[in-house]
Amino acid sequence: MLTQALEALDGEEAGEDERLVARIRAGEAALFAQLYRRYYARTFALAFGMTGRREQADDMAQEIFLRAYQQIGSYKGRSTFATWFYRLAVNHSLNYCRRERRHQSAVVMSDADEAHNLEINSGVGAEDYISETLLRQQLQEQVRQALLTLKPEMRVLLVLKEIEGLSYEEIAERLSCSTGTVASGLSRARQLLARKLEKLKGKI
Amino acid sequence: MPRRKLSGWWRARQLPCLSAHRGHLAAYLDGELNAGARAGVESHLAACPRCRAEYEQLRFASRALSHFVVPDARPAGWQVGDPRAEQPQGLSTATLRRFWALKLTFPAPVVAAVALAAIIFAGVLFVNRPVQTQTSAAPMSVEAPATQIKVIEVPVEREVVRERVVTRTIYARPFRATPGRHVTAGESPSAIPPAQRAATDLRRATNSDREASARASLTGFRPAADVNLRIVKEPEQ
Repeated sequence: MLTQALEALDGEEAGEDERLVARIRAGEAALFAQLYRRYYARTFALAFGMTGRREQADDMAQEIFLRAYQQIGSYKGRSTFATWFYRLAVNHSLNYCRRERRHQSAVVMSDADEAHNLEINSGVGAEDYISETLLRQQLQEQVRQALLTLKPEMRVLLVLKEIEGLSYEEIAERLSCSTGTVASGLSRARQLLARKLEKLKGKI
Repeated sequence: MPRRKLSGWWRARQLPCLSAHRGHLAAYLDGELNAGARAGVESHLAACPRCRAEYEQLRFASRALSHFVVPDARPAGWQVGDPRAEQPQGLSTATLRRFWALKLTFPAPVVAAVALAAIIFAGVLFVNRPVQTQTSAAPMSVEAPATQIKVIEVPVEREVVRERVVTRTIYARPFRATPGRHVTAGESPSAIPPAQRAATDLRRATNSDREASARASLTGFRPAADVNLRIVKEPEQ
């Protein structure tokens, strides 16, 4: 699904989105479904990177599209629709995470969990009785948890760079900042993440 | 960039490298540097162990995030009607747009000043509001005696507010025939000599500064000059 959607995104003709938007604004609201299909995969990837949970990511993606639909009248065509949309998406995801952070403390693994994981991961003959898949899942889980403990502003940088694979320039465009800010922010975010995952050194 | 002179080897271990190349490590890792800057970073990395360690940290974080797996997106259906029909209830977009346009036209300080003036005006109105007199509808805790003295407040000045509270106290207190004796059930307050009753009433009701004068002489009682209070004497039955 992701690859299909990305191919659809890459294969689009220049200006096709803008033509679609013009028709939607003229009253053909049903055409928004095309934009929805085209942009959903990337929006979901951003949402999942920011929330770490499928249900919340689905919610966030839906909210982003709803917002884009309601505000499509404010798209003036000064930038491409993709730029406008992703900027809206990033802003919304940041607000969403800040709101969530206020309501519930960041997901932090309990000490018991960490001790358990460490025990399993450092066991001498761990591979003997735990399948490779399980270990990999634990690794993924730990990375996910560590990412979620970062501040939303740092998390969004890592998500855009490492998960979506954008260039500094694209990230700067979406966050409305300079590439220098992106570089220094990414450096800080990575160092923080590396410190949180210290115990995984040698396993990755 | 000149190196800061360090006082000890432990500080040298803790302080990060002060070279400008250190700021380019992330960009170097992400392949965002041009050839010249890249060569500069590479030669610096070969010479500086602290930057090498930091670069390894960045690479480690980057590798760790490659283990972050995004599950396949399963988009729910998107069905919408006419956007104009789906506007949220309440303010229409056009109204909101006009509001924002207004907001942009008037600078924030002007808006704040107008709001402040409105609040002050409302406050002044509230303080100077007319006080309603309570003549007939005074709450009586005992059956209304044929009062000999009626206190009517004249709401002109601000002090009236204080006096109104005083009048309320008069009627809310249990009637005492003599000081220290409550009116018992079945006993009519009108059985008590009016002069004594009025004296008791006034003593209990008036402020402490006027208490002495009220007790001394009933007929000669006059309120303090700064209080807009008028005492109407009704003819004795």
